[in-house]
Order: sequence, then C-alpha cells, then structure tokens
Amino acid sequence: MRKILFICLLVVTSLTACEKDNEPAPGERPEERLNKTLSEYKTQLTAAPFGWKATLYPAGGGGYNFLFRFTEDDRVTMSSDISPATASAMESTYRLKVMQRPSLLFDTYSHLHILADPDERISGGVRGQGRFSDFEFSFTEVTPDVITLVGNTKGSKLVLTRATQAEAESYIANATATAQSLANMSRFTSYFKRLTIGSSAFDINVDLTYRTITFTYSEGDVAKTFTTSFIFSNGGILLQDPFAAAGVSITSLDAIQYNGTSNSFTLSVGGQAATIQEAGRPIKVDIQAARNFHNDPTEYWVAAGGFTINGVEDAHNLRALSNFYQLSFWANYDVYNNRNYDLMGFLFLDPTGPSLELPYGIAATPSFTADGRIVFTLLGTLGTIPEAHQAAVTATLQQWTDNQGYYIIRTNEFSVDLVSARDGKAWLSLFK
Amino acid sequence: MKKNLNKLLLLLLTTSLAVSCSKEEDVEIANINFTPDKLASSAVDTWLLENYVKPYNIEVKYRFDRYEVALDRVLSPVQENKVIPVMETIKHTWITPYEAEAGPTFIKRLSPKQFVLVGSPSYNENGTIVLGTAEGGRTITLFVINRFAKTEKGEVREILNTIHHEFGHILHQTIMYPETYKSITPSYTASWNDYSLADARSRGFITQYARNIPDDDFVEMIAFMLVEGKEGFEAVVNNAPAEVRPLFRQKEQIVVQYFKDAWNIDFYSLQARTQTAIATL
Repeated sequence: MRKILFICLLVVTSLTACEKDNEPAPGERPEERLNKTLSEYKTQLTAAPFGWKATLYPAGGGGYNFLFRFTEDDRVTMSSDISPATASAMESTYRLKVMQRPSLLFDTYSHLHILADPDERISGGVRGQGRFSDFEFSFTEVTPDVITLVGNTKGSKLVLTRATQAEAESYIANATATAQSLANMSRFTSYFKRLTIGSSAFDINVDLTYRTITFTYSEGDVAKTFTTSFIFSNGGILLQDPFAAAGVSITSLDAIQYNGTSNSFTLSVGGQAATIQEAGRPIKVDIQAARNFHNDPTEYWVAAGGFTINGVEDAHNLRALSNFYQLSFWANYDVYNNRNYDLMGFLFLDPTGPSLELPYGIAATPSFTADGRIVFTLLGTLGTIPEAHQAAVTATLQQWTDNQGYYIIRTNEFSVDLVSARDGKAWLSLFK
Repeated sequence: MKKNLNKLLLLLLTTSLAVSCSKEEDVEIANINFTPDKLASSAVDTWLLENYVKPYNIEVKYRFDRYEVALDRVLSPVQENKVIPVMETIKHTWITPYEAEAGPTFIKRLSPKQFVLVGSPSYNENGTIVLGTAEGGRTITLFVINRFAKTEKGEVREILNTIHHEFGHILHQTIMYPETYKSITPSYTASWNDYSLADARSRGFITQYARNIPDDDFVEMIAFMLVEGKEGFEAVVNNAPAEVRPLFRQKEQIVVQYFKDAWNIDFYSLQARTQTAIATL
C-alpha cells in the first residue's frame, strides 16, 4: 500500500513538474507571418520606381483610372481621371494593416475617396452611400507586377499594375484626353448613336460621368440591351465585361477619333474599322415597348424638366417657371366621351407650404401604330394656365402631340425615354 | 496510519502543485494586438503631439480607423490639411476660455481623452446628419471636418456646438445638475426631429434636439449660450411667446448656478470669453 502511494506521489510530482520550455510550436507565429507579409507588400508598393497605375471599378458601377506612388513614410501621391480636377496629383496617407485580411487602407482623404463620399453632391451617388465604392482594400492576388485587391466594405475591384516611366508621365493625361474627345458626343443632336462595325450595327448609349455603356441589339423581334462599366484607355475605352451577342464580341473600343466636319467618330473594334454616328431612328424598334410603357402599373411617370430638343435640355424652359416642380405623365388619367385620355400634368410647389399642386395639364388620347410608335392626339387643356406660362405650355403641347409620335426606349427598369419619331431630335426622359 | 498517510499524501500533493510552476509569467496583454500600427510621423502628428498630447494628454485620431466609427455607416476620412485648422480652432475657442476661467487643470482633468475626426457627415436613415458623438466621456467624434474653414463662422459654431454639447455631458455625468431642471419643460420626445425649430422654441426648447431628453436639453442650453453668446440667447428668448420666456429664464438660471456651484465658474464671463475667441479666430 505504501509503495503504491509513493508511486502515486512520484507520478503526480512528475506530472506537475515545471515545464521550462515556453516556446510554442516550431515555426513562425501568426503575427510574425502577418507582419512579414505586410512589410513585404509595403516594400513591393514603395519599390516601384514609377509607381503603380490602377483601375478601380466601384461596386456601384463605372470605372476609374489612378496613378499611385507610395513612399516608405506612409504617404501616397495619386492622380485620377475622375474629373479634370483630379488629374492633378494629391498627397495623402496610406497604411498596411491586418483587418480580416492584409489590407491597404487609404486613411486620409484623396481623389479615390470622392467616389465613396456619402455626400451625394460630391460623389454624384446616393445620399449616405456615395457610389458604393471603397477606400480600404484586401490583397487577393499578388504577383511582382500586378496586385489585385477587393474593397473591404462594398467589394469594389482595384487592380494595381507596375507603371513604366512613360506611363507615370502620361497614363492619367491620356485617359483624360480620351474623355474629352468622347465628350464631343454631346454635339450629337439626335437621340440615337449608331455604332457600325462592318455589317453589324448597334445603338449605343455612353454615360461619360458614370462610365457605363449600353448596347442595344435585337434578338428576333425583341430589342435587348447590354450594359457594362468601362474605363478610359489611351484613345479608347475598355469594357469591364465583354459585349458578346449578335455575332460580335467586343472587349474595347480603340483609337476613337472625333471628326468635327462630319460630326462623327471613327474607331477600331477588334482591329476592324468602325464609326459612331447619330441616327434619327432606333436600329430596331421594339414593337411592344410603347404598349408596355402605357400599360405599366405605375400611377404616374415623372420628368424633371421639359423636352430635350436638338441637344438642349429643357428646351421650353419649364424649370424657369416659378415654383415649377416636375412634369408628370398619367396614362389613362380619366375618361372623356367614352375615351380614355392621358395627362401631361404640370406640378408646382405650393409656395405657402410643403405640398404640391397640379393647377393644369395637357390632355391627349394615345394610339399605337403597327411599327411600334405611340402617338398622342390633343384633346385640350385642363385647368387654368397663367399668362406667364402660356408660351412654355403651348410649346410643350405642340411637341408632345407631334403627329409622328414617339418611340419608347426603356433605359432601365424604372425609366424610359420618349423619343420623337419625326427625326429623333426631341425626347423626354421619364422615370417612375 | 492509513488515514495519516492519506493526509500526508494530500499535503505533499498540494505542496508539489503549489511549487511546481513558480516560473509563471504575468499575462502579457500587449500581445493581443498582433499587428500594432507602426505609423510614420508627419508634420500634422508633430503639431498634435506638441499641442494636444503633451499639454492635455488628448489623442487626436485623424487617420481613418474603421473600428472607431459605426460600422454600418458610409463615412469618408478627413483631408489632412483640415486637421490643424480644426484643432487650432478648438483649442482657441474651447480650451483657452475654460482655462482662463477655471484654471489650467480643469481641461486636463475633465476633457475627453480622444478626438476622432471624420471628413464626411454621418447620415441617419431619416435624412438627418450626425455632427458629433461622444462615448462615455472618453471620446468625442467630430464629423463633417472636410467642409471646415476658419472663415466660415457658421461651421465653426457648429463644430464648437458639438464639443460644448458633448463636454456638457461629461460635466453633468461628473456632477449632476439639479433635478428641478427636468420638470421645467416636460414634453420630451424621441421624435424631436419631426418638429420644426420654431415649434421647439415655442415650447421652451432652445433647439430641436434639446427636446430629446433632459440631459440633451441641459447641454444644448450650455452649448447654445456659449456658442451664440448672450446676444444670441437673448434674441431667442425675446422672440419666444410671452408665456415661454420664463421657462427659458429658469433653465438659464439653473445652468448659471450649476457652473458656479459645481465648478466655481462664472458662466457669463466664460460666455464672453468664448464669444471673443470666436470673433478673433
């Protein structure tokens, strides 16, 4: 018995004896590995002699170019093609830090933050959200010359590519020059812009501010659209997602040049010569679009101003009318002589309180042509039109009830454009 | 004997356990932050060190830190060139008048120990924006710094208002104001922002937000009277309906008495100093 007890004691003592070796498992500890990774990334970023050219695709759409130069003391100098003002370099701070993953944080304000600014007047995005862009990014793939990152909160995509000396000097300037060249598209006074590549042709819509392009093409009798973000390149644009339909596959539009005499662009698409010209008619009329628009269950459609005519927004100066708020279009507003009629209502702010008034409107009956147009036939006006408004209302009335009618171009789920079928040079953008 | 042996064994066991690992080191919690920031020091950092850290032990965090702010809000970092002007302004119009009135240790003792600067506003879902927040008297977070300019007195007043508001909370959390204050205008409501400023004033509240809870009412009174000055406050009182004026006067009187009793500060003198500071920016 005593022996057993002593053996027990011996065992217990040996079990509790001091383990003097405090070293953890062999190899580096996680924080050592992370710190090593961070310092390797920093070395790579700061070692590029001419900095990094970068493309940022915010999660909210669009694409933007940057040129970054990182230095050892946490500072980064950047220029961008977001706007002409951002082409000049701005210095701010950055840091590398482990968040969920090793991350590159741009932690004081610079050009990049404009897109993510929750102040909608700065970002051009949504109040409180901005353009759904990021300024904190995780490293996802790193090669010596290309670093791929993804935004930590919104999932925007940022790709850094080691710049050459020539690129460091001209990358942003070239992109900005391309943007300015494409801005000549505003000289088109027609609604439709026709991209012709050999025997293929598409209507395109290029949004230079939000950097998206829409191709309209037909599948059978149905007009279809494809929209993707793009970034400006040296002389052209690069699509984020390739447009592959109707027998073509387009990843970029290159060597775009504006010709003032013919008011058109020449360019190259996949090595093939192409042109962009304005057009009076859509390439393909969606026969059902007009009826679908009129049957839409929304209560009414809204236009922020009057018709755009020959490239002039709100050509009849409705927004200059005192307290003007918006135009509202009601399909089947009411019945007159057993016929449904539509109303183009003029809405005004009540100067005495926070409410809206509908003092008058234009009534017309709609009809639908076999070739897909909607034609509004004047019925008359409702309400009392002040003398001072007479000219603007009459001009709007004449335009709206043009007997050639309108093509309905659906621009997205919530908006359509009414485009004059007479010549494509007058249109009204409506949203619901 | 067996019993004794058992006792002996137990004793030995205990002893051996007690002595077995005397080398135990203290838990080193500094290692919990596996990758501490190693930030390079800039001219701004040097300025802050000399003007805030050394004299007041106040840290000014201006490089964006995701974990210092609400994670569900979209916010922008500050522009670096706004940091010194903002902090100069705060020192000149908040710290200096208090120091002159209450002595050099007052701010050192009571001030929040951290300022966090955010460039953009913080947008609430109801469309209103947050100008500042305070956390338990430790941190004051200031928003909308990127719109700051010393020449824009309106914005200077807004920032100052935020600081006086939050500092007011620290004061009354340290020494509570008299309970009677809470019953002067009892119509507090969480939906204060549904009512106009004129509506709030007609009920005896200095601002819309003052209607939120008595604590906010109390500190809004402090902030408004200091930032807008005696003149600004008198204008509000004189424009209020006759039956409401005494309510404002009661609140004013409690605030002034509170500063005297709790902190030995002459409120009107502090008010005058603050006004001079704003005017001489």
